[in-house]
Amino acid sequence: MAENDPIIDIAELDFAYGRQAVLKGIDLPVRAGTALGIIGPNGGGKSTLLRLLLGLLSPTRGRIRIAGLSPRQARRRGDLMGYLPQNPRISRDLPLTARQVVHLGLAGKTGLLHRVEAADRAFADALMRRTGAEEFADQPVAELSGGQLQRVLICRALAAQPKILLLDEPTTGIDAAGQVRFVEFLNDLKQLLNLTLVLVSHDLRTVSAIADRIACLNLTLHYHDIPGHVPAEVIHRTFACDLEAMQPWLTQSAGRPSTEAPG
Amino acid sequence: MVDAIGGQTLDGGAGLIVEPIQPLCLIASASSAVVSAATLSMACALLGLVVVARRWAFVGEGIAHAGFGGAGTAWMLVVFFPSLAQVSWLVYITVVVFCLSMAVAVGWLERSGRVNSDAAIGIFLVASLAWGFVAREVYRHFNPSYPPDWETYLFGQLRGISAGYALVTVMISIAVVLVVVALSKEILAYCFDPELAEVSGIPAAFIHYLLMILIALVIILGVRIAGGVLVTAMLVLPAVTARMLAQRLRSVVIAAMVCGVLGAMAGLAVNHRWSFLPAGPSIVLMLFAQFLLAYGIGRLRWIGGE
Repeated sequence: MAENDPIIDIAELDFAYGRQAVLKGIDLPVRAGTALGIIGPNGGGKSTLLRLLLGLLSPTRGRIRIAGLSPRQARRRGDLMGYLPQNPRISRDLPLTARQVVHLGLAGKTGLLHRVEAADRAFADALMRRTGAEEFADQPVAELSGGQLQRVLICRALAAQPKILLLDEPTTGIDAAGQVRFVEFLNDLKQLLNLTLVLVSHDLRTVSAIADRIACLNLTLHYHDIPGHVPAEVIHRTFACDLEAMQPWLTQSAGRPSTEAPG
Repeated sequence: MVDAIGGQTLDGGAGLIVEPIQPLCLIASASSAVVSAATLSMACALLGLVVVARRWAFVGEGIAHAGFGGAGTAWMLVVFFPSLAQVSWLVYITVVVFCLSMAVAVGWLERSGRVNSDAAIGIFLVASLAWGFVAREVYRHFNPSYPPDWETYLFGQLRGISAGYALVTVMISIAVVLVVVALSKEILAYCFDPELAEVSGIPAAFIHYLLMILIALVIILGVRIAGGVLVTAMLVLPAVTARMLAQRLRSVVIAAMVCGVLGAMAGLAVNHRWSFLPAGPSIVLMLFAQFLLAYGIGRLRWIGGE
């Protein structure tokens, strides 16, 4: 992979569940160190696109390359992609502490029958200190609040020092103050670890505060590549609703500076 | 009536002439039962933590009941090919094949997510039981009696367990424990959240089917001890009890194994003292008593903490 090649390259991608087309003709390169926000209505294919990037689904047509690898190869390396799902279906019956959960994020990178390296463990612990998760590191994960659990799961996703972090609706169920803190938290991590972020959300405010490029997805990709604000006609085409409905978000988001992409 | 934990009853037939060698056999048989029950209950307790975390208790039920269908298949084969009656291991093979096939099929249903796996297990479970009962009656129709030891596959029969069978049980149980320990980080990650495990690079499908097969193996062995109807108790009860007694992973694992072994030993002791009480159900009731005790302790702690 050459230096300037995109770290994620999606070309002519189609995906369908049976006969139901979900994504059509998607071309979307993402450069390393940038943050891409994907917005669109429910059922517009946002989460499906993330699942395709993770290799959990296979494209009907087209090609996805992640650092020059297929999504499956990239996933199996264990140190290329981190993922925060929208509704993690964790088992609360396992007696694990927050720290143990974060260390589990190293299992894929370490490989079968190998011991986790001390340096990796130390990085995961440092990450917990940096993100404030250290405070509840030794609490049972079943007793954590929603916000604490999310922090733990992000540390878990980043424990193996991946280059890419994929987030699916990360601010769902978080109050307004919590969302502001989350945005700061994520921007801080992005700078610190030089991450490439792909963030899926229907919340324009969060997306525009984190992403430096925004893509509107509803079956097809309506728009991407221009930082700052999203033109009204694109919103209309993506969400198929009147601009007035989106206006409060747009006026707030349009004025916000986008995050600078490092390097 | 001489009946130790695993001894054969010797009061049948005319006159009791116990040769000097027989008490030794009895001791060997009794210790075979003790050793196999102890090691197997350890493996069961360890996998029980997986079963509870993944909510696979009903999966265990399905695999266990497949054993009776497997035995039924052997009886049917004997009806149609009477010469097979001489093949003593035929029924073991069919039971193992049925239980492992059930494990893999259920594993596939669980993973594919396309079918309601709970309903599918329910269907296979009753079909397997029905097939076993039909086969038993067909066998009875063409033979003077029911198939030998048919109750074993439902209610277990620890008596007269051979040293060879005990050795196999001990070896497989130890192998199961070693595999779980060797792959503990992958198994924990999988049990915590299969999808997160998969996206973080763990071979989730391999771990999933491996766990299904390990569970099937201990169930197959446990059918002999507790019976197909009760064997899942040996998986679920120690794990749930341990979870109520301890908070940390290490202590929960140790507590589950101790509970499993103590329950098995207590059940065998009951069977030893009152030989008319069957070993399998005694073990299950002892495990249940532990659970009630742990629950009581938990409630007291909670009231005390308030």
